[in-house]
Amino acid sequence: MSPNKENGGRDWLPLGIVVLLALTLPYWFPLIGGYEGLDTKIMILALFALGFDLLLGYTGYLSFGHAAFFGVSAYATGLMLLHVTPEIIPAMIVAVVITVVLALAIGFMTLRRTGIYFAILTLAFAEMLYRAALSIFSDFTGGDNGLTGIPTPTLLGTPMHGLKVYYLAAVFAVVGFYVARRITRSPFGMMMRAIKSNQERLRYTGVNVAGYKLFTFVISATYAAVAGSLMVIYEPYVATVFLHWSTSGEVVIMSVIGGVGTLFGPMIGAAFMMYFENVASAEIGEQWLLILGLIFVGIVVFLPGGFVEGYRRLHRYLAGDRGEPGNPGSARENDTDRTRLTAATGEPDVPARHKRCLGPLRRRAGPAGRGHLRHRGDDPLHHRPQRRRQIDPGERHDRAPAARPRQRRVRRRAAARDAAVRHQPAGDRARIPDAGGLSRDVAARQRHHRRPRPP
Amino acid sequence: MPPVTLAPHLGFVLTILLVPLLLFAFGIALERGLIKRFYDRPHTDQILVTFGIALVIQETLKWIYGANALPFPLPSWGNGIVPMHEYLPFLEGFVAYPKWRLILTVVSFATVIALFVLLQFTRFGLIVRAGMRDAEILRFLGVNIQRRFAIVFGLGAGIAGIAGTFGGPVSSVYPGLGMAYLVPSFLVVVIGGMGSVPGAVLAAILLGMALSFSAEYSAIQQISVYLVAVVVLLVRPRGLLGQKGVLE
Repeated sequence: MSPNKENGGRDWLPLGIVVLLALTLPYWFPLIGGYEGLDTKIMILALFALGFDLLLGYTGYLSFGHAAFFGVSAYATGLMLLHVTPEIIPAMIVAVVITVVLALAIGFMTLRRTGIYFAILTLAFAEMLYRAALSIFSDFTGGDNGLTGIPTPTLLGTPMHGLKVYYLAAVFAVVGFYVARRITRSPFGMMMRAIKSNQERLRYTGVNVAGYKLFTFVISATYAAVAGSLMVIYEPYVATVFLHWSTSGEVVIMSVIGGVGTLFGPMIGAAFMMYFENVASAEIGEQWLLILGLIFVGIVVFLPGGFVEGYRRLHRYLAGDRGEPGNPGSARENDTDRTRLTAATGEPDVPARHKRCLGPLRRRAGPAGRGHLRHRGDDPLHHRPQRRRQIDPGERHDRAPAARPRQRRVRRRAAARDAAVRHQPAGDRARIPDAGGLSRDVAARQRHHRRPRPP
Repeated sequence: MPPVTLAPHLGFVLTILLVPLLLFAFGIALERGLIKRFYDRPHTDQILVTFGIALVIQETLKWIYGANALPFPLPSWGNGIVPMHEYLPFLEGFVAYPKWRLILTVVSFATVIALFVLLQFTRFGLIVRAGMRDAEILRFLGVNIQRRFAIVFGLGAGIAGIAGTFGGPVSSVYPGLGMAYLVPSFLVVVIGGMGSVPGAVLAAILLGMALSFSAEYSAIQQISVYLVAVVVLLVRPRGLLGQKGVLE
């Protein structure tokens, strides 16, 4: 089931925006200073960042070696076009297959480690390939000069250049976005998020964690492979920098400034970065990379959700919810499951249950929002259940027990328990005094939610 | 970079003393201002923010000093060649050696030993090592672990300053120098095992050996470092002398 079914029509909004942008970009992009071809590059790198986000944003693995897949695929495509046929379909297929095999090998070795070790290991593999391309394989790869002399690629006989390449890349970007959304909303996507939040626990429940991780890694590498392949079709030349770690660094920066774990964010981040690098840098001059670095650090420190988080905060602010405290970084850590689920799908992270309560309140309070609320605790948006010590099982656990004489509590015990149980919404119960009260469809629901088979 | 500007004015000796101190102060300021907010965040965020800072520093240097390599001449007392084969005639094949490289080796060993003593045999070191394991418990015990972490971060920056001042004349000095050394030094730490000074020394020697021995086959020389790194980490995922529980 889609996690934000209640959101109805807005669910399709990001996809609609992506399609619209992809269709119209070449027509208005020159108006804001973009040169011809930059739009194609944006689409290609958006696809690259999208795949990267599947890995970093959903399973939490920070790879500093994604350039390996991008570059290897680019070289494979280039060599196919140069030596076999200028037709792009076989070239792309071969490139993707080679990259998938490579990703299986690298993923198998690196995914056992997490955090810094994983980042370093992937970096080491990517650097190894980069050095190898420059030394051992320089006869094939053209060494420092890159792979040159590639003929104009063709698609079923039609030479690919200009707008045709753009729409090829745009189709891949849109399809990639759609597929990525489907993946993250599937039970498989749930597994990815579970890996991010607690891998160990997931393993103890009997899930084949390694399989899920490897599969995610391969999917992510496939996106990188398609992007790398398209890059060569866009510009029939393979630069050595495609394999260099700075390409990995670039995709990291794109994803982070756009908003990790949002799919839409990294695509925006890619567009922003390309625009900044190629257009805005003309205005700023030499220091554009310095300013980009400052933006990057600022976003990591103050806005860990990137542009998407910034948009959401703005949206919330304009909607009149001024009191939202805390920074998203800590919220992300604390109530992982709920916030993550919603953040991933573009829904403002207010649990549905609270939103339902909010309706009547809003209406009563008028456009000013919640000015009438006297205490923070009255506000459903601020409802943060805190566990209290329960003296008896029927007592509420999320509110301080009312002060009352000791003897009377003993007498009122049974009545208090019944009242508490009756008034609490399901799921808010700390202990269920009478387990027989569970309805029969709980079992049915559990059967329905049974975990999917590992790939 | 700053040593290059300072050295002609202050003389090399004063620069050697001043630069690590400056960087120590810079490191502490950085830790207090920025890094300390990241102790509670996931490791990936820590990598990201330090990567960003490195990028910013590199670009600032490029802005100030330009992208070209700067000359960093040896001090007069560091020039020359030591005829090692005359001092140690019983060792076959020992040749004349540049004096500066010997100084570099001595300084490097002295720094490592000093650091090891500091971490292993002082009260400060004890607290820091305990803090690596479980900072929270230490805080409950009334230790100001935050201050220790700041000092350690500053020490890291200061030692990098020593390395830069002494290593500058050997390699050329340009803004990308930091990034060029970042990956190998990171590999050294990870291979040696995080939180282990002897491990880092061992790893550095191992990587240096790998580089030197593969020098004959220039094609694989560049790869050898990464190859060693990958093999070590696959066999011993925590690094050569890494201990359980550090940074996991």
